Amino acid sequence: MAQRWLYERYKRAMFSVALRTLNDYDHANDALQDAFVEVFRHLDSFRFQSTLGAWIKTIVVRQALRKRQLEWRFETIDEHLHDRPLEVPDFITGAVLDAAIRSLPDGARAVFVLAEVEGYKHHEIAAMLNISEGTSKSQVSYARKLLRKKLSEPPGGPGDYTD
Amino acid sequence: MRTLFFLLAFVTLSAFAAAQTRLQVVTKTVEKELTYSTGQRVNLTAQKADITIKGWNKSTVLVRLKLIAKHPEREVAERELGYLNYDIQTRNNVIDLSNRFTIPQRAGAIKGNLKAVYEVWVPTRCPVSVRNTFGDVSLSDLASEASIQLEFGKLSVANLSGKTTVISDYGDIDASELSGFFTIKAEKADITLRELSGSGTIQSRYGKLSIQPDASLTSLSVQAARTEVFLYPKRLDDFQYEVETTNAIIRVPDAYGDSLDANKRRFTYSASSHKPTLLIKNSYSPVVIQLAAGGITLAK
Amino acid sequence: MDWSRAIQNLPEHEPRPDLWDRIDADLRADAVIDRTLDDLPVFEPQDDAWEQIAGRLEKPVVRPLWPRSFRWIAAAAVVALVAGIWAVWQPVSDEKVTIAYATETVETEWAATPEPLPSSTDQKVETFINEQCAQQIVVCQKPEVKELKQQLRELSNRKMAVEQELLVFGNDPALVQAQIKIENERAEVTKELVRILRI
Repeated sequence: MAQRWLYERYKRAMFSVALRTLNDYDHANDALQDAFVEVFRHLDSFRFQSTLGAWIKTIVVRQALRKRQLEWRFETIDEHLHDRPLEVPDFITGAVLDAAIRSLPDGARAVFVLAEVEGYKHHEIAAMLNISEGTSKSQVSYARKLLRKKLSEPPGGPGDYTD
Repeated sequence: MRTLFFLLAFVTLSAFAAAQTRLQVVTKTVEKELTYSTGQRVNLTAQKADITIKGWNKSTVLVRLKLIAKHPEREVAERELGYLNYDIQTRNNVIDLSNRFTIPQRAGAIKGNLKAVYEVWVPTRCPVSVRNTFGDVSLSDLASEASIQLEFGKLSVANLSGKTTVISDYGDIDASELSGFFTIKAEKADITLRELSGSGTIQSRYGKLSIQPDASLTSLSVQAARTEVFLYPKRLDDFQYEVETTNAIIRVPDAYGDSLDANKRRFTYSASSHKPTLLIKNSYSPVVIQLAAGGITLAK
Repeated sequence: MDWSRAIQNLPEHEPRPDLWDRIDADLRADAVIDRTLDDLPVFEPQDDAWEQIAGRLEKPVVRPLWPRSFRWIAAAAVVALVAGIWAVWQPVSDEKVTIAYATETVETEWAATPEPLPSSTDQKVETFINEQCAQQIVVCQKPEVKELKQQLRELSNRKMAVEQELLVFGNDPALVQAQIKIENERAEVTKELVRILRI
């Protein structure tokens, strides 16, 4: 069946977006379900103005953000310099980076994932999260700062998502 | 050896034979004339369409829409023509024209070729918005607001004198006699502007931009990146120039070399402070200023 | 009081001595992060997610994306011949609808077009760029290189979008031309990136 085929094709990519944005396994599953139901109900309104994948992804992101709509909190940014230069190893694995992203505060994580992983523009993120473009940009650089710090620390952080 | 020759001839001939196919073409033409009242706008949202919009001095809007399906078998072409839907409607102050593809689940992918062709005539002062992907758009003789958004395909505009906005991704642009106020934002497009007048801004990333300004051009600002920019004034002294590049050079006719800095990154020239100013910025690709020789030579 | 001279004579201050080390370390860290973003793991939703979705859908939907089955049409050199025209008047609307039949002859793609090379050059280039960026972090931080990389990403997305449409519409000439434009652009950008990174 075509729907199933479409679901199978996109489920991993879409679930990963939801999970990374929300950092909550159950919420991410809910968001994925709601999103695909919406996708199938509105498939005939898909106007080929973007790729099918991009269209589905935007629906998934919107559903994910809706799960937390009232809870987004953006930390005030700590501009303080670190004690010494942060040495991040030249090579890190995707899983290590993923764990570091998960450790970010909710707001900074969502913005970072949407901007840097998923490639949304700041004005799009601002509209999705109902924040200013400036906040979106500053949260990304805040997220980067926290990531550098996190990645320069010796390993031994929190474990994996899936279980 | 003879067998080999024979085989070779056979293969070549059959390749030729296979190079032509007879297609059944089914065309559905929809024609509708709509009454127009001042202030109404025509909004055209198209997919895979070729579009021609022309201003005329009647007070109606005439739409001729052709929906075309092609396939070697007529039945298939007829069936697939049904997947091409359209809408021609007046809603409040907007005349909405659109086409879309609806492919039923049982049908699978489209087997033939489907296309929409619009021919639209509007009153000269009727504002027009057009969106299209994968098709050619042509607009002419309009004196109102015209906004065009296209992806791929080609845009030709001629004699637009109102407020013109073009946003193009990969869609090449060929404009002649553009005046009034214009804004062009393009990525990866080849842009040719002949007899450009009025005032406006052009933003371009990648691609190529050739401009032949008319002496009646009142101001022009070009913000380009990685775009080859060619400027062909009829007389250099018709304008003042503020041209700047990074990581690429500016070329000007030898007689004006004195106004070029040593690195060929900056060209500032003004024959008279009353002349309109052309501002051009570019990076990583050159800016070439050259006199238009006799007729218009917009080099390819 | 000569104000501008006073401003010129303002004292200069030395930043903290390790400031450059910090900036440099940050740049390198960002490069590592950017490089690794492409390797982020993907995750599976829970097993019964599909059943949940299917249960909530009441009716079938339109437009599946099966791979196309037919393979003809290329550029069209057209000889059209009108076979018949008749008009269908729709009484309720002032739209005049006519249906016309014709035939035309088009060129099909040569049976013997060059086969695509069997290599995975695209992937090799990607690997090359990533490797070079790992070794020459400073070069990869140049705005020029960042921009080109971004450009390449955009082009790859575009390429996928057009491929998606080709799945639905078959070898439609407008789509094939768009694909060619993207591929050529991608080739240009890729070559330029490789040229810069090789130095």
